[in-house]
Amino acid sequence: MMINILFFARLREVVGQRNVQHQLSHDKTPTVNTVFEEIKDQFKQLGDEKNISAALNQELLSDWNIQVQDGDEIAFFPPITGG
Amino acid sequence: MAVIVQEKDFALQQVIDELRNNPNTGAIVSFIGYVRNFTNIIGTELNNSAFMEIEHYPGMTEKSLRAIESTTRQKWKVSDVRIIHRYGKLAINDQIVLVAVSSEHRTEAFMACEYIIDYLKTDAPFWKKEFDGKESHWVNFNINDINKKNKW
Repeated sequence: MMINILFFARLREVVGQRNVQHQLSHDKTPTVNTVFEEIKDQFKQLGDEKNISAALNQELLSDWNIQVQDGDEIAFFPPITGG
Repeated sequence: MAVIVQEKDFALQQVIDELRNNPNTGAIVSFIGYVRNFTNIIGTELNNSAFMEIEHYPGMTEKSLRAIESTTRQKWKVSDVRIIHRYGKLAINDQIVLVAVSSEHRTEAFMACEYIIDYLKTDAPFWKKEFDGKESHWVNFNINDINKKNKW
């Protein structure tokens, strides 16, 4: 299962990339949480970050315990500060 | 286009003229957000090397702003809505965001305008980074923004 992962703002700088194609090793019913845990293994520096927000297919998530599917786009970013 | 995300500046009067060009318009309320002086320099003299950079999530930004507009239209009887938000490099005092709402009567326009900017602050994926000429830092989110949104 391939997931397109995006990082923005501070998290983009911490990871050093804006976009990562991630092949999920978890094969059952992966959630955004599962994806984040796997990504954190790859980019250990994410473990130090607090207040991370996520969007699945460009919808802001309040609960990361939501199932993902092949080809989904998940973005991780710090709290929004626009306006 | 009711929602615009752009690098270039915008002109309030042009937006007002567009909204006014509707016989049902009896009231227009607008809000503009500017880059505040975030440096330690006190007074009116600006630090010319200071600037702000705004990053956003192309695609999701427009989607979230359109969703806010759509919820606004369900809540109040408004005629037109314009939301313009800039990204990229901005100087102190530059315009960042414009929200303008027209309606038949003022109450709806006042309420809708405030509702839109309150939701934009927490739901539209923009991030600000401040450069004071020496150092840079990402702007922290403000808990008051979340409290304000939750009051609706």
